[in-house]
Amino acid sequence: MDSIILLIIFVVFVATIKQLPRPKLIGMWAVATVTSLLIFAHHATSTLNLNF
Amino acid sequence: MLVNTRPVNRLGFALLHVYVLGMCAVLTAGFLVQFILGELPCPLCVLQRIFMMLAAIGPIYIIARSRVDAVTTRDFATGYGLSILASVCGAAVSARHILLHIKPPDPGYGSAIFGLHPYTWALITFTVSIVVAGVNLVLSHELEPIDSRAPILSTIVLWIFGAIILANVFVAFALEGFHWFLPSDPTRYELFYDLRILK
Repeated sequence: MDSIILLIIFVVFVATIKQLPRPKLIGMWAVATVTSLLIFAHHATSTLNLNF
Repeated sequence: MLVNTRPVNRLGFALLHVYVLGMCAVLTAGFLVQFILGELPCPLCVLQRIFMMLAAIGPIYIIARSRVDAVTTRDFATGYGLSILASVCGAAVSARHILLHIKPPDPGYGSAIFGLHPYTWALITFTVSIVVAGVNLVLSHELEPIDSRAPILSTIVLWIFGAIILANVFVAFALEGFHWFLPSDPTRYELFYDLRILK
């Protein structure tokens, strides 16, 4: 997943240089950020014994 | 050469490049720790690198806009807004990493560099990033690079940043191989074992 996110960041970088429309850039950036946060949540909670 | 008459706008334009180069320097230091000291990055370390790159995308956006058109206040706010959001997320990851190793006698993950571990340096980097972005937004009227251009300098900065992202893509792929997640305590580059190049 991490390498896929980094690949998305590279695509965002290229799209930024190529002047893609602002909503598309922010959308792709948000996808990378939210996915990274989900991975962080996975790592933070995977070792816990969560019994809700 | 910068083509702007107001020195304070030129300062704002220069700050954008310094911001990106600063992030590149920190990411390069991470590579030095990995390849010279031989300490493989854990999943949280990789996430901190990811958020540093996401934070640098903000100033990159402003620099890219300045190459084709005059930068507007909206562009300036968008760029530094992205930086603040990514830096806050990165700071949360760094803080979590510090808290994991805060209980004595835990020696911390990896070697200390100038007395601090890499994840502590990462928290300092994210904090500085938030402060710089905040100051730029507060002083946006003075610092936004309205008509500033430095084609050669901007191109060099963009190439360096692009190369660092690509290097991180390859390193992360080598570390995780054909698995969904990085191992929590990596000891080898999984890709070479998945491809049976190493046994």
